[in-house]
Amino acid sequence: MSGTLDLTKMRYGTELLKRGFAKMQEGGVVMDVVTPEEAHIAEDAGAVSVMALERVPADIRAMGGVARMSHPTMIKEIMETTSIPVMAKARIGHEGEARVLESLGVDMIDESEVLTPADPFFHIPKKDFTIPFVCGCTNLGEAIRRISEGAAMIRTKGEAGTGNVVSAVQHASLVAGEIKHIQSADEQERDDMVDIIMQGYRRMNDASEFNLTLENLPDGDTPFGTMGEVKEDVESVLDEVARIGRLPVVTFSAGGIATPADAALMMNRGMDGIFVGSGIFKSSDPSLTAEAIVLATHHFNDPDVVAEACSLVGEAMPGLEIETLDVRLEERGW
Amino acid sequence: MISVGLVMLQGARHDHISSLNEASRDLGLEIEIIEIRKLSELTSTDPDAIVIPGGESTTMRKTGQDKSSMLIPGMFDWIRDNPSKPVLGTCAGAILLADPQDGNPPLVEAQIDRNAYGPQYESFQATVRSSLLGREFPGIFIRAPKFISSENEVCATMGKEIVGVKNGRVIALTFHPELSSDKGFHRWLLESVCGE
Repeated sequence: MSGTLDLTKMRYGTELLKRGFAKMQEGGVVMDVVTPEEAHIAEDAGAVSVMALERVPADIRAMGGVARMSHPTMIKEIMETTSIPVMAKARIGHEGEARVLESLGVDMIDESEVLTPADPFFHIPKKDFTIPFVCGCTNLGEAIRRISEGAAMIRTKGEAGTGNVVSAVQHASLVAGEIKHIQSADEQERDDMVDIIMQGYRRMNDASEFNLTLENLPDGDTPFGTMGEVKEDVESVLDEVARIGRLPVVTFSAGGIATPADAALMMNRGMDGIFVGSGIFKSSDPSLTAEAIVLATHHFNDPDVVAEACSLVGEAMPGLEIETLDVRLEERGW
Repeated sequence: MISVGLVMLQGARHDHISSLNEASRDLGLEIEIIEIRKLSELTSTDPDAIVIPGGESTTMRKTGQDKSSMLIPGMFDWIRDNPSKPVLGTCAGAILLADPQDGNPPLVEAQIDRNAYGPQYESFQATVRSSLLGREFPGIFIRAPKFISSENEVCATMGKEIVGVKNGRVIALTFHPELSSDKGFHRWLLESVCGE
């Protein structure tokens, strides 16, 4: 940067910059990639960002074992290959992995249930970081917890690696319906909702064989501050949601989106954009599938163009019925 | 009634919409915002002004050049054919205006470097000085591009750096006025439609 700038007056890592980064993703498709070559294909196809990970969810599901953050060398290679933003996944509650990703210089961290959770009680305190986070949710309460912890972007969890869009639809519908509910709630109902949302922070109480009560501990009892402070943050996000009638951060759909029509479906449900994991690089022609999903996401409201996008692609990834799954990734995190 | 075309190639839309609405209330003007994804939507509605939001320029070139859209290069020809209509391009929108890649002269004559400051942790807020507005403006720079030089009027600076360029009624900014609470540039767009 030029030495003529007054660096003392420049501010970095603010909430505005974090949420602003997410806003620049609006209308776009974020694609999972595991190699620099795949990142290249994704960028050429019009991806708005790439998500660097070790294995796509379908392979994590098939291989089993603990799924962790990707190897730093691979993430660096992907960052060197592509000019678009690079996101990477950290395990739920794994601040150590998140700090490594921040040090590598990724543009956004996905605190993701696709990886094996590291902390059974708390997610990462995301406000402490300079770079923004995206987190998954299955309903409004979960979304509000993540935003009050500092998430700058929300995505539906869906059910990753299945090629089955039903869970993504479920989560998007629940969030939308619950937002309408809160807008019509009276004060008592609103306070009850706050109490229910706060239950998500009492998992340590529930696990303790003593009568451990976080509220009674002096301070620093959660990674986000005292329970009183957490409650204030939750209330402020909840009230903002009620006022504006949507989540206060960019909201994407993820988990099971495998075809251009799936992407158009979720955009028509009011999502701001799409994450595609296994759907692209597990299809018969990744490059064409990627282009077609970008096209359908862009022209979601024009069935003729979505039809054209669907005609472009060959065979989609094989799909899985949710009922037959051994592991439900959406149940990770809370 | 002023019609403003919002180019929906990809990138921040909601904040441009709310900024335009707020600016119109401030000025007591009635506006209609038209979302434009296809060239046919631009030519059939022929708006009084357009806004080209930022996002990723690689993605915008892709969605714009698709045969279902054809907004690129059609949008550039529309701007050249309508020199009296104000245009506001922010961030990646500024990249498209400075480097249209359609074999014709750029819409603002300036050299621009994409993502010149580095990854997201280098994104920053800093005060901008705008000769167009005649005052300071809160600059929000997100993975921003940088003007290396300009043949046109410089309308915003940060220290000695050029962060805004004006060619006739086309303005290209490397920062994001739509994320700021100051609606000065959106007011300029609407006021320019009304004459001067």
